[in-house]
Amino acid sequence: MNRVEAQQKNVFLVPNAEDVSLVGGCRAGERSSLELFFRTHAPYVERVVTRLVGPTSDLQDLVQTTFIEAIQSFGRYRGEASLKTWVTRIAVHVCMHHLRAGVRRPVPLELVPVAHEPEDPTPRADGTLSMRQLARRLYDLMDGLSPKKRVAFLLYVVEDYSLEEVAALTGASRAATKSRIWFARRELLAAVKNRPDLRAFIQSLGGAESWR
Amino acid sequence: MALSCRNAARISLATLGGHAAEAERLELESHLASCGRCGGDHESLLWVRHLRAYQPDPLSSTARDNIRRALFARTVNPATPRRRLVWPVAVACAGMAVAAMVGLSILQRQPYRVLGGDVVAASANPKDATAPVRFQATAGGRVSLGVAVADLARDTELSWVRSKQVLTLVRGTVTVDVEHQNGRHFEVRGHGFTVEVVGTRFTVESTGVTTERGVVRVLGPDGQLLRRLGAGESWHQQVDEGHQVSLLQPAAAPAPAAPRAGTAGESFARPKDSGPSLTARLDLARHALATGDAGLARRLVSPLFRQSHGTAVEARVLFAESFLVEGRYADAIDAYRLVARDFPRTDQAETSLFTVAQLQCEHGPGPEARGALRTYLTRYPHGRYAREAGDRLARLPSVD
Repeated sequence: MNRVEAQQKNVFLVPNAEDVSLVGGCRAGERSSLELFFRTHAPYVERVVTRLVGPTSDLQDLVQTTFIEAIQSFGRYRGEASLKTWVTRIAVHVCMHHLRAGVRRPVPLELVPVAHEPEDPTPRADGTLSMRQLARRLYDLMDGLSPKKRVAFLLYVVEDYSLEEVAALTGASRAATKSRIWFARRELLAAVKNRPDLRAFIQSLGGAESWR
Repeated sequence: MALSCRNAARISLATLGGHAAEAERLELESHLASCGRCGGDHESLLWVRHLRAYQPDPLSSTARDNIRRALFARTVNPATPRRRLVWPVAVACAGMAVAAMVGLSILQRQPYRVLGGDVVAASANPKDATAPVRFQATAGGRVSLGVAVADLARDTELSWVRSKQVLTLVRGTVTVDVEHQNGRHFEVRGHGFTVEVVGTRFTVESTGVTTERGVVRVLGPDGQLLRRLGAGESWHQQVDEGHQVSLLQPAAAPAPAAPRAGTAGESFARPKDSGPSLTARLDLARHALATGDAGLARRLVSPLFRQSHGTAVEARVLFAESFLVEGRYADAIDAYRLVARDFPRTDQAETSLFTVAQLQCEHGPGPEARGALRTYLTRYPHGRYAREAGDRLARLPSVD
């Protein structure tokens, strides 16, 4: 089974016995079940939210909103997908709502490019910081896309979900999802062409050869 | 087979997302080596891999504690699964909205609506259903009268009383298309006669009536039944003088109209004559069509519908052509279809079917046109117009 198949299997997995008992406990308002639900899914939800929204100070709020939505919606959980898929779908919708609202809080100080930071984008000794800077700039590029296209593109290309899985997570048809990804690619290509500095930055990190 | 640039772009995306198979990647590499544009595009998106490599810092334990506290501080009441009421409520709301709109439209419905032409409507009190509304058309036009649509010919004047559903022809010619409604009748009053209908299409002139569809009853001034007319039949009053009537009653073979009690002065325009008079009548109809007088042509040919086979089919074709002359294409299509249905073994049937297809094509290359061409080709695969029909069918845009 390759990675894609494994991922598909994961998303379209029916709920297992643990999920069922956990949902039962959560519906009954048992604190232990809710605690377990949060502990199990919080890391994954954090990851998805960060991937879709980018480095943001709203991460805590978005994760919190996702779990509040999930806890309030347990009554509507029909057991047609695994709990992980269900909570991921909620996270995706929370992110889309956040992106649609267009509200951007100031990013943490560490992510703001310093005014006197050298323009030479060669990797610094502190690799983590460089990666953050790069991520910030790349997500800036993503800000030009509509939330639907951005989420579809990131889920497909960065999070490795298949078209069918992206469609299931975003509540769109397969054709619409494919179209969104395609147009996102086209818009990103146009954006990169208009940003020679970013292009040079990416090439300096050795991206141009990495596909070979 | 060489990879197209579009497929290369698709595989490039799949490769970035890790969805491409090994064979596809090799194919892509081969394409990128030979296509500079695709190679450039692919390189321009390689930064996405850095996003994949970017591992965001997880929330601190303090932040997670904050979230946990916030979650448990809220009143969580998820115990009972809620029924999904969104759709039922939405459907109910939509139904109520539609009902309200229909109710409003009924309440505010105008007694009539001018659909086209130079029709002038005048009424002393438009809101009073018992007050007559007068319609005048110099060049002709169309008026909707609730359950009926009236086509006014040139220089026609009508009077309409909505409460009684009575349309009175003051002068000119009117063709009425009445929608069937149970328990409601509709009347058109001519000069000295009344046409009573339930659901049909017919033409009323000052001297008579011609039915195109359905059944009408012709009543005398005293309400006595003069004639029941089926589709394609006509009835005309006998008038002693006047050019049109002299055409209807050729001097060579006058129709021996026998006046009935209480119906003095009327006769049925179904000639009992035969031979040259029928041919002459068809010739007159052709001449009328050539001069653009479609109404006269119809009056001439309508009585011939029940004559011998050859005469009847010619009459029906001329009847259909009369609608073409007037630009009433839907009526022409109906009439041609009737020819093809009633006289299937004649040349005229083939010509009529092809004419229907042509008319459908000229007025919208939709599924009707496609269907009409296919009908013709199915019935006449080696017909006189088979090649042209095939060409037209091939030229129609695909609906798939």
